Order: sequence, then C-alpha cells, then structure tokens
Amino acid sequence: MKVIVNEQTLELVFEKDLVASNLDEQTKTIKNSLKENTDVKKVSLNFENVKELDSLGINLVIATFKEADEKKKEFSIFNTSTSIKNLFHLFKLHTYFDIS
Amino acid sequence: MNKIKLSIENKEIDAIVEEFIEEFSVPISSSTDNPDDDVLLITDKEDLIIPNQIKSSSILICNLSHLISEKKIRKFNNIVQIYKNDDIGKISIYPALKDIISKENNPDVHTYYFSCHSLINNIDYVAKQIKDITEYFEIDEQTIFYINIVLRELMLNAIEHGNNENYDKTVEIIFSLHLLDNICILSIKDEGDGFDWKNRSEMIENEDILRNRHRGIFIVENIAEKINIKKNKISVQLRFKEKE
Repeated sequence: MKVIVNEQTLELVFEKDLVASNLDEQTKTIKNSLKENTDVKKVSLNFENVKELDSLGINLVIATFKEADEKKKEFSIFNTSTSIKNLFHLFKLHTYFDIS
Repeated sequence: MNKIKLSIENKEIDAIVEEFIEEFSVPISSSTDNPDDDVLLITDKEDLIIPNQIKSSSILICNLSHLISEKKIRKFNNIVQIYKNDDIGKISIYPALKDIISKENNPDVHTYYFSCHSLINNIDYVAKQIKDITEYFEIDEQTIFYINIVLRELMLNAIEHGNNENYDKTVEIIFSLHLLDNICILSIKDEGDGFDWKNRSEMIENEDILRNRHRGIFIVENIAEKINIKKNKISVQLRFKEKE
C-alpha cells in the first residue's frame, strides 16, 4: 500500500484487492499510518487498484472510517469502480462519507 | 511443470484430446504463474504434453464442455477431472459432465465442479477460475463482480464457520451457467453441521450497518435472486445479462 501525506490529507492507495487473503498487511499499514499522522485533517482511501472486495474488505473500510471519525478527521473514498460504488451504496455507506 | 490430470474412463481418450487440441489449438495455456511452463495432461493411457498454449484450466474446461455439448465427444462415461498441485494444497476442478449428458447434451447449460481444502487462499484461486469462465461466456461486468463477491462470501463462511478452518476438511463448489435462462447457480457445500441463515439474516435487519457483523449475509441476500439452504449446502441463484 502506498501512503501519501499531502498538506493535511493522508491518502492511502490500495495496491491489492480488498479480500480476505490480502488484508493483514493492509490493515497493519493503515493502523500505523493513522498513528504516525495525527496532524492530518482528512483521510482518503484511493481505490484505483481495487477490482474485487469482500465483506472483510468492507469491514476494513468501515473500521478505518470509524477511527478517522473518532479523531474528528474527514473521511472519503475515491477512484471506485461502478460495481464497488454500487456495493457501498447497498450498505448506505454514502450517507456516512463521500464516495466517488 | 504444472500437471493437469485428465481422468476419463473411456478408451477414446487419445482421440478426444487430439480433437480437442486440433479444435482449440490457440486458446490454451497453463494456469501456472510461469508462462513458460508446459502443461502435462495425464491420461489413463499415456501422458501428453501440451506446450504452453493453454490460456487457463478453466478455458480448457469450457472448451471440453463445448465439445461435449456440440456432441463432438459422445462417449463420456465419467467426469473429467483436472487438478493442480501446488503449495496451497490440492484443488480439483472439473465440469460436471454427467449433468450435461443427463440433460441430453443441452448446449445451454454449463456446469463446473471445484473442490478444495479449507484455506483462505484457495478462495482466490476458485474466484479466478470462475471469473475466467464468466468472461469466456461474455457475462456483463456487474454480474461478474456480483458472482465473485457471492462466491467469496459463501466460501469464507464455509471455511471459517462450516469447516472451522480445518485444512483437511473440503469445500465443494458447483457453478452452473444456464445460458438460455440467463441465470447462474452457485452451490457451496462444507463439512459442517449446517448454517442458521434465517436467524442471522433476521438479526442483520435490525442492526446498525456500521456494526461489524454478518455483512457477508447481507451482501448475498441483497444480490441473490434465490437462496436455497439444505443443511451444510447453500445454493444461490443470480441473474445475468450478456455483455453489451
């Protein structure tokens, strides 16, 4: 996973699909990045390289949102495919944060 | 070398394979990560090497299935079994040719059978094979995505809850495409005691979606056209469109 800190935004770029077999390493990187970048005001997940996900991947997204929200940081997801966007809408996640 | 075993109780195996190679000489290459690997077809009579031309084992299965449905192969008495041995354990993949034959060679129904050990990494392998099959039949992208996620949720449930992640317990997957009716059916069977889907499904209706439970069930319930559960086997029907 690529971690980009730009001004006050922490951008996390997934480089693998968000499925059960890939999650351990990505979860660790997200936790560490949030711990190391307490000054940022916004956390963004870049889904450019995510083509597939499962419920555990969705759990990771929601857990990241909750952590960012607790720390009063803005949260968004961008570069999602239409299929993934439709899935997030099924969970009504667009009512909690921006998805584009 | 990546080994693919063709186990067919039929004396005409050489003719079948020869016809297959002649008919589909282009689209075959092994599913191995190394594109230079050859594929070894082990038959009851002799081993045949198909050099680096099989695109993937699922395409091989598709093509074999076509040969049968087009009545080019008539005397199959048994299923074709293709398997791959690698570090993550044995995975068997074969089309349920008996089904095809029993439907009087209905060319519009294609059925594929997979079985694997209870390992999370095997989900990726089966998902890739089914993705290849659905792309081969030009199913629309949204449905391919839905099939993929439903498969992942059902396999995850079978491995984690059904088989308690016991490597030696098997997960069986049957995927069938009914081209005339535009439906596909995914059936997953584990070695557990059965799954109380209805209870869990009712629980999620009253839950805050941000709570971390039963999202897999929610996904399957919202995507599937029909769900049928019999003890430790769940079958899910999805409707698809052809690619525009």
